Amino acid sequence: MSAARHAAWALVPAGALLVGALGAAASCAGCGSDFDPGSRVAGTRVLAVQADRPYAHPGEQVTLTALGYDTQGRALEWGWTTCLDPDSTAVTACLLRLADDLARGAPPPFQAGSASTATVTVPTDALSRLPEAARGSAYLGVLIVTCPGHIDLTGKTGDVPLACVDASGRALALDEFEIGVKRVFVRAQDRNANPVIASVTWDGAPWAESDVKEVSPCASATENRYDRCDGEKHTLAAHVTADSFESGVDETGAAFTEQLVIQHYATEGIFEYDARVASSPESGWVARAGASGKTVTLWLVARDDRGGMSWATRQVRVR
Amino acid sequence: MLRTAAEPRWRSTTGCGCALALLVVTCGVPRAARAARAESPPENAPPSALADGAAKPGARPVLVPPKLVEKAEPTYPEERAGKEIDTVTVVLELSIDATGKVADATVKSSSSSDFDAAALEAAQRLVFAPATRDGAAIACKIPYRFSFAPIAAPAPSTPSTPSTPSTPSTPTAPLSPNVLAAPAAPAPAVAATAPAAPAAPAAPAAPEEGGADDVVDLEVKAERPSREVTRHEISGEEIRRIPGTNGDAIRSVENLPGVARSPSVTGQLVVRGSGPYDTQVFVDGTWIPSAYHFGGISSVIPSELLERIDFYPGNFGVEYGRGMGGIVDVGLRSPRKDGFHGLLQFDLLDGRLMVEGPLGARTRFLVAARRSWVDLWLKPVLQSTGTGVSTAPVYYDGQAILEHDLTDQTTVRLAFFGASDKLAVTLNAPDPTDPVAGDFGFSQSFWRLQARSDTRLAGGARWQNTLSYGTDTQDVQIATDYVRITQHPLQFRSDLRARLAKRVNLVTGVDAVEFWVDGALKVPPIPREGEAPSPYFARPTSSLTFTARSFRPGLYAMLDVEPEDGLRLLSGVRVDHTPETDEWNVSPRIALRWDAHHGYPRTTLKGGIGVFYQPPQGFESVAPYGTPGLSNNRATHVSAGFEQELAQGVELSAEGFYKDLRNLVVQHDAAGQTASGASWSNSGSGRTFGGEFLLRARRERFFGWIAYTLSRSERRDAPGEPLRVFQYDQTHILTALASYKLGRVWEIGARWRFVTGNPYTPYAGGIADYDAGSYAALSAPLYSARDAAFHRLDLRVDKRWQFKDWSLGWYLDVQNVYNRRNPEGQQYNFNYSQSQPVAGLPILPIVGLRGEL
Repeated sequence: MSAARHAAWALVPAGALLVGALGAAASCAGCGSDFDPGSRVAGTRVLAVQADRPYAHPGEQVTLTALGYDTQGRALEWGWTTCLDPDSTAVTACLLRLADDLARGAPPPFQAGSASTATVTVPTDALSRLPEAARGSAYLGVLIVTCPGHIDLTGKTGDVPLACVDASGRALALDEFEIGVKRVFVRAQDRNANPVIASVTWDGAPWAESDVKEVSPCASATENRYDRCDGEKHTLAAHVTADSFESGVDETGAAFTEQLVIQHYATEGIFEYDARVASSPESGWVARAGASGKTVTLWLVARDDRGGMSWATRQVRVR
Repeated sequence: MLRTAAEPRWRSTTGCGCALALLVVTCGVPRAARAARAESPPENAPPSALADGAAKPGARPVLVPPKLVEKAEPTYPEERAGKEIDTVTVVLELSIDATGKVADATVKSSSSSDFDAAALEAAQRLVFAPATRDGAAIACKIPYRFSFAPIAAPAPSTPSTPSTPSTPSTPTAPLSPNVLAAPAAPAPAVAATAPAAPAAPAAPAAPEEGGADDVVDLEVKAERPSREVTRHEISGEEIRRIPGTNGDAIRSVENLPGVARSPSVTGQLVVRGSGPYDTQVFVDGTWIPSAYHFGGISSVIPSELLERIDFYPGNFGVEYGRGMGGIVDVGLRSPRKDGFHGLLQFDLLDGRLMVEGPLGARTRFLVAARRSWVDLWLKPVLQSTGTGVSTAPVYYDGQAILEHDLTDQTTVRLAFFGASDKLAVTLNAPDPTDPVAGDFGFSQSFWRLQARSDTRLAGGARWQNTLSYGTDTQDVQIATDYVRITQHPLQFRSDLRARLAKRVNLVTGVDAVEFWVDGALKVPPIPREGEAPSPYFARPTSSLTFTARSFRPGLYAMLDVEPEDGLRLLSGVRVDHTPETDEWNVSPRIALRWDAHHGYPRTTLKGGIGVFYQPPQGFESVAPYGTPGLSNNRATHVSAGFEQELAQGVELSAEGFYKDLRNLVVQHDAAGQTASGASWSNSGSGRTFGGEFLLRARRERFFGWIAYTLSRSERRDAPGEPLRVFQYDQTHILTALASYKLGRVWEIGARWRFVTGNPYTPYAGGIADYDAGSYAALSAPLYSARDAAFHRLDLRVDKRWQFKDWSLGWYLDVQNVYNRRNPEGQQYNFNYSQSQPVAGLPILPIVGLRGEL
C-alpha cells in the first residue's frame, strides 16, 4: 500500500487494515511450506473452548469447556485465570497482563487442576468502567494453560512468565504445552448462541458418533499434499443448523452477519481443506500410510466470529 | 528529470524543439591557458583572482574563454523528422568578436545539409560574453556542437509551453544527476573528449591556437536552475532502457541513490530511511494518492506521457510541504502539434493506446488509456485453488490533455488523469491460521481534473496557476468487515518565479488543499508498527461512519541569490496551517551550491538544512477514531556533498545526510479506552543518516551508473527508550546498470542490485486464540533480525525498426536472470514454532511489442 501520509488521511487505514488483517493469511503461517499442517494434532493441543454464554452480561457466570487432547495420553493439568480490559483485543495482551501482574508481585487468581472446565464471573462493572465509545469491544479474557505435567507460575518459558514441567522435571518448550485465551464478550443486552452441528456426513451419508469408519491408507500420500493421493479418498462434512447463522443489529447499532466456519483436526491424515465455510462444509480426507493399523480421531469444530463454537468428534480405523 | 523520446527535446520561449545544443568551447586560448594553468593557481579561479594574477608584472597572460549568455535552439528539419534513429551532430566553428557576437560560423563536421543549415541559422542567434585576456575582451574562435536528438517525429514548431519550469535533458548531454542547470558556466579549463572540430585557427585577437583536445562540452540547459541540494534526473530514453523496470518511469527511480528496495510486490517508495507514507507523489504539482498500481506492477502514469520526473530524496524546496520524506513530481508532456501520432504497446502485463495531435494551429490534444490483463491468466490460477474470483486483479488508467496557446506568452491546459485497481475474490476454504472467509475485495481509484495556466511575464518572470479537483476512493472488504473511504481533494497552486535583480531570483507561491472525506468502517484496531500477527477472525470490531473536512493553506517564498559566479545561496521559508492539529508551522530551508571549479571539469560543493512538517493522518488525529490534540510530525534534514566531473559524460557525486525526526506519531494499544482500540501520541522520535554515492557515465551509445547508499534508520516509540532499527532500514543498497546500443536497431542492458535484507521481527512461538482456532505470535524484540541479502541480475534486449512513417520494436526484459531465491520475509508454521524464508519472484521474462506512428 503506497499512500501519501500527509494528505490521504482517510485512505491509509484501509491499507493498513488490509495488510494487518490479511497479511497473516497472505504471507501466512504454514502455506506453501514443508510444515506439518495445523490440523494434525500432535502432542498437547486444545482445539476449542466453548463458553455457554459467548456474550455475557455484567455479573453473569460463564462456564467454559475445553476440547483438549494429548496424543501421548498424558494427564493434563489445566490452569485458568482472567484478564479484564486488556490493552489490546489480541490474545497476547492477556499474557502480557499476566506477566505484568507477576512482575509486580500481584498475581491474579489462578485456578489449576485436572478439570477441563471452569466457571468465571463477569465483573458487574465490566461495562460501566469503560468509556461509552469503547464498550462495543469489551471482553473478559480467560487465559488457559494446558500442561502435560505441572504448571509452575514461578518458572519461565522464554519470555512467557510461567512454565510447564513434565513428570521427569523437564521444563517443556512452548510448543510442547499450550497457552491460549478465550474471550467472553461483555454486552448489556446482546446474546450470541453457539452454533449447533446438526449432523456429520461421511461420503455424503450421515455419520453417527458411534460409527467408526474403516479406511485404507493412501500410500502415495507421503507428503502433506492431499492432491498427491491417488488412492482412497473420503469426503466428510459438519452441517450446522440454519439457526446457527445469526445476523441482525447489535446493541451498538451496528449491523452484523456472522461468519461461520468449520475447522478440521485429526491425529493423522491429510484434509483437503483444513477449514471450510459452514455453508459449504465438504472436505476430503485421506489416511497416510503411516497410520496403518491405528485408530484416528477427527474433530470438526464449528466457530462463529462472535466467540460461539461447538464440535463433533469421530473416529476412523486405518487398515 | 525525465524526458521521453516522443517529446520535444528542447523547449524555450522561442519554440522550435527537437534539438540539443552542446556548446563546445576551445576558444583561441587553450595552449596559453594550459601554460597559465601550469604556473598560476588556481585553475578555474574566480575572475577576480584571475585579474589579480594578470596584474602581476611578468605574469603569463590570463585567458578566459567566452561564456554563453544567450542560447539559441535550432529547428529540427521537418523533412528529417521520424527518419533518424541516432543523434545527428553538427560541429561548427564560431568566430566570436570582442563584443560576444557570432561574427561567422562554418561547418566543421557535417551530417547533412539540412541539419547543417539548421545549426548555422541557430548559431547566428547565439550571444556570448566575450573571451578575455588579462581582463580585456578579445575575439576568438570556438568549436560548437549542435546535437539533434533522435526522435521519431519532429517537435512542435510553434512556441510550446513547458509543463513546469524544467531542465531539458538529451541523450547526448553530459549527465548531471545532481545538475546545476544554469546556463553554461565559464570554461577556462579546457579538455578534450568531445568530437569537436580539429584545431581552430586563431582568431586575430586570440593569443594562441586551440587544439582538438582543447574542448569542453557544456550542456546548454534551460531555465530552471537547481534550487535543491539534490535533484536526480533520468532521461526518457534511459527509463525505457533500464533493465528490470519494464520501461516503467517511476520504477526507474528505484535505481537512484537514497531509494531503498521496495519490499516485494508492495510498490512502496522508501526514501532515505523514511516510511513510504512520508514520500509524496505529484503530477505537475498536484498530489495523487499512489504512484503505482497495486503490487507496484507499474506506474499510474505511463512513461510515454511524462515529460520529466523530478526526484528529491530530501532537503527539497519550499514549493513542497506536508511531507518529511522525499518528493516525486512527474510532469505530463505537451501533446504534439506536428501531426497526428499514435502508440500501441502490448506486453505480458498490459496494453496501452495513445493518440495525439493538433486541433488547429494553437490547440492540441492527447488521449491515452491502459488496461492490464493480468486477470486473464491469474483468474484461472486462483480458481484452480478453490478460490471464487468475481473480479480478478485488474488495473486501468487513463489520461487526456487539451492544451491551447492563449497568447504567445500564455498557454492553458486541461488535463485529466486517473487510475483504478480492483480485485474481488470469495474464499470458501479459508486459511486455517486465520479462518476469515467469504468475500474479499480491494479497490482503489483516483482521478484528477487539472486546469493550468502558464504565463511568461516581462523580465523573464513566469507565473503558473494550477487548480485541480478529484476523487480518491478506497474500498476494502474483508468478509463482513469493511473500510470505505471517499475523499475529494481540491488543490490550488500558484507559483511565481521572477528575477528581482541581476543575481537575485524570487520563487513564491500559494499551495493550498482542501479535503472532503466520507468514510464508513467496521474493523478491528489497526495493527501497530511491527505488531505480531494475531488472528483477525472473531476479534472485536468497531463500526463508525464519519465525514470530515480539512483546509490546509500553505505559503512559500524563496530567494535565489548568486553573490558571485558559481555560488548560489537559496534561502526560503514555508508556512503551513493544519486544522486537525491547529498548528501554524514555519519551515525555514537553506541550500548552498558552490562551483568550486566551474567549467570543465566542474566541481560543485553543496549542502542544505531545512525543517519539514507532516500532519498526522486523519485516522490518527480525528475523533472518534483518532486522538485529537496531536501535533505534526517534524523532521530536520541536513545534507552536504559534492559533484565532480571526472571526464566528459562521467560524474561522481557523493552526499552525506542526516535526518532528525521528532514528534513522530506513535500508536498505542487502548482497547478499553477508545472506539478504535488504539490511541496515538507524539512520543516517537528517530534519526536517519548515511551517505549516497553515484558514479554515472554516458556516451553516444552507452549509459550506466553505479549507485550506492549506506544508511541507518532508527526509531524509538517513547522518550528514554533505546533506538531500534526502523522497519524500512537497509544498510547497503548497490545498483549497477548499463545499457549499450549495438547498432541502429539493437540495444542491450543489464542491471545488478545488491541490498541488505529487510529487518523483521522474529516470533518466539505463539499462544492460542480459541475464538479463531489458531495462534497469535509472540514477538522477540522489534526488527531484531534480518532477511538474507538480496541480489539480482536483470537483462534487457531491445530491437527497433524504423520505417518511413512508423516504427516497430520489441523487447525482452528478463528479471532475476540467475533465479536467485531472494528472501522476502519469513513464514511460520501454525503455532509459530518453526520458520523458513519466503522466496521472492523467480526468473521473470517479459516480452513487449511496441508500435509508434
